[in-house]
Amino acid sequence: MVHVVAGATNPNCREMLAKMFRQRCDVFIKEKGWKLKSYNGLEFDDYDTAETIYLMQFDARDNIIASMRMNPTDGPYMLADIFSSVCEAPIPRGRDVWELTRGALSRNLRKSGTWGRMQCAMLESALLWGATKATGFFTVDHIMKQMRVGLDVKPLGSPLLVDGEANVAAEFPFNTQTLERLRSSYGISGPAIEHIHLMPVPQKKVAA
Amino acid sequence: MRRNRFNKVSAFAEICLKATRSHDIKSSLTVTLRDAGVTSWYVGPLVHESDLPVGLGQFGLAPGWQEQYAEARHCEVDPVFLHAKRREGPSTWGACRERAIREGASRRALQVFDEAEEFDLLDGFIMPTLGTHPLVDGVTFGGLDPDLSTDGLLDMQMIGTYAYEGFRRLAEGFNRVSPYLTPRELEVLRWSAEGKTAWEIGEILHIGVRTVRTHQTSIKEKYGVSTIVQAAVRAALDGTVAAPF
Repeated sequence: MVHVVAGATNPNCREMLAKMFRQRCDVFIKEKGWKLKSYNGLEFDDYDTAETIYLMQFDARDNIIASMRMNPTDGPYMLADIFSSVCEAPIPRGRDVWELTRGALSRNLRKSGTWGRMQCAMLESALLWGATKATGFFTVDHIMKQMRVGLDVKPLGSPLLVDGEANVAAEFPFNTQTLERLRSSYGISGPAIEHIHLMPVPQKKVAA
Repeated sequence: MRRNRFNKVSAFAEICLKATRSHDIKSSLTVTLRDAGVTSWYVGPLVHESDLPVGLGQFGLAPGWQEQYAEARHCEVDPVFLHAKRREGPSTWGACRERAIREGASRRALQVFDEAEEFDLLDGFIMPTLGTHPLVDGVTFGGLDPDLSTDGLLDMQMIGTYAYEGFRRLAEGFNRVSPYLTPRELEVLRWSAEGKTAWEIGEILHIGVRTVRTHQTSIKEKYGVSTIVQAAVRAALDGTVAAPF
């Protein structure tokens, strides 16, 4: 089952977040060779903020097996800040448009269906938070997989060759119909989210 | 130039996502690819056409080539198909041919390229797709002088992705939208599917024969068919009523 963690600095989820940042370092820097900064074996950047929502999945021994980062696009976000030149359609922006980045899955689970549960959790979170659209810079191969499970992905620009792979800016809608398609594609009948860890509301100090 | 590329791919993607008939994708694919110098295309399982599942395997091939390719059972040895079956990512026919020669492919395998040339198919593009288990699927485009530049190949990969998924969705009834039927229409349809006459349905539902016929007319209009039997079949296929078979 999937945990939803709100906020990169969520004080109630420090251990879970550390596991995720370590997994990202393993997957993106060590395995895929992306040129990203890491700090003591943890990979995080300016887009890991208090506004960020994370999905994390753990195995029975509490090892992290999958994670995903989702950012509302009314503030700074990667597609607008770094990849805007690859967008030829208007760049999506808004509190209800989420950018999906850093989707990480343990190498030995890539054909296990684990990612299907993550995608269902992504849709469930989006609907809970009122998000209506996803955007991101995806590989064309990934787009084919997203369409296979029922997501109506639309390109926002021409494809570009990055590290030998075709990538393209794209968007797709979040709605209940899409969630139903996803669940049906993956044979998942109920909610994928097990627990939501909201950012605690700061307590006001009361004068003595 | 770049904007034109995007407009072309984006418009085609839109058609594939909304298509309700494979003809819509076919005609748009042919026109979209023509600009890139493609005169022949195939989208679907990489098997002999006699083994294709219903609705899968769409052709836009040069006249005569499809028949010749099928008759010679080229699909069994075609190095272009073999490339896709290895799931090694997009490539060109030229690269597949070079590899086949390097690996000592049979004369029959290399003959496929020679025969394709007779149909003005000198080079092309091939990409594997996700497949429809247990088949291996792919997309291939060819022509006399197709645009196989880096941008041309990237666009073909996008176009191939949308064409494949568009056809697959149609074959699987993905975009088939069931019309909304009122509870009464649903009852009338269910009894119609059981073979009851309008009079019998009227007796069962305690309504007049004319009312039953009015409901049946409305159902036929909603399904866009001319008989209540056709509507019942459509409703069984889209799950609106339980299939009587």
